[in-house]
Amino acid sequence: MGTCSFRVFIMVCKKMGLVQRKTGNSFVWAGIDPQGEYRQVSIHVHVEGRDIPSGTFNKIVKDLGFANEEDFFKFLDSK
Amino acid sequence: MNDYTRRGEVLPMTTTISIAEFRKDMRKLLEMALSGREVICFDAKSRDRETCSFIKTGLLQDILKAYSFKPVVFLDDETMTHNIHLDELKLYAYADTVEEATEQLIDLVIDYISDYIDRLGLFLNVPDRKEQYPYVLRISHCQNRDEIKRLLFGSN
Repeated sequence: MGTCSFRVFIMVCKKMGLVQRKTGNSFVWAGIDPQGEYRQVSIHVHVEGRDIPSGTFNKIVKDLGFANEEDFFKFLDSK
Repeated sequence: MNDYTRRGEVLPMTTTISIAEFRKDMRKLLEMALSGREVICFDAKSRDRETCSFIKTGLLQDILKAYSFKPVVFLDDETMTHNIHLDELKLYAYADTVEEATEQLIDLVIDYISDYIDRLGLFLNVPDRKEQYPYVLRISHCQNRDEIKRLLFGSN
């Protein structure tokens, strides 16, 4: 388990079909994933661009519906 | 033994009334609810027969105390950031100091609660978001940031 760059997190969200909107001090990535499930992740505006620490990244991976970090990166690399 | 048990019927534990009856005597029903009784209202003309409960706010807040928040605070050695995880609402903050992470988390909570309440129709139909409802309700009763902070990190 390690950190994840913010850019990679955004790439996966977009590939999943999630859309970003800003609400207050939060960036909310939300939408229906390829399996038809609703997914939502909130990121504070002050951490935009910062690497996501491993423990927090692990939580976000699960909230996006992936079993683990490996699945997350497999999805990123898939066609 | 009373008439109900003698007849083998269930005791009426709640007060159930129709909208028409509710309109007729709202004051009496308000006083009943304020005394601690749950008043259940239904729309006789509605097909789905869903009901609504009228309950004293103080009692509701007492019930909601069972839904407590347990934020997890830790330092990530690799990024040297202070992280706070609020699993009850799936919200996570990370910053250079604990104080900044705390303020970020409160911002995220305020934005999330506002969004949740604005889009109840969505969130109450997503199973893992529906189970957050009692926590959302509890925070929605907070009057300001300080109260939210005490609720999340204090002994409430």
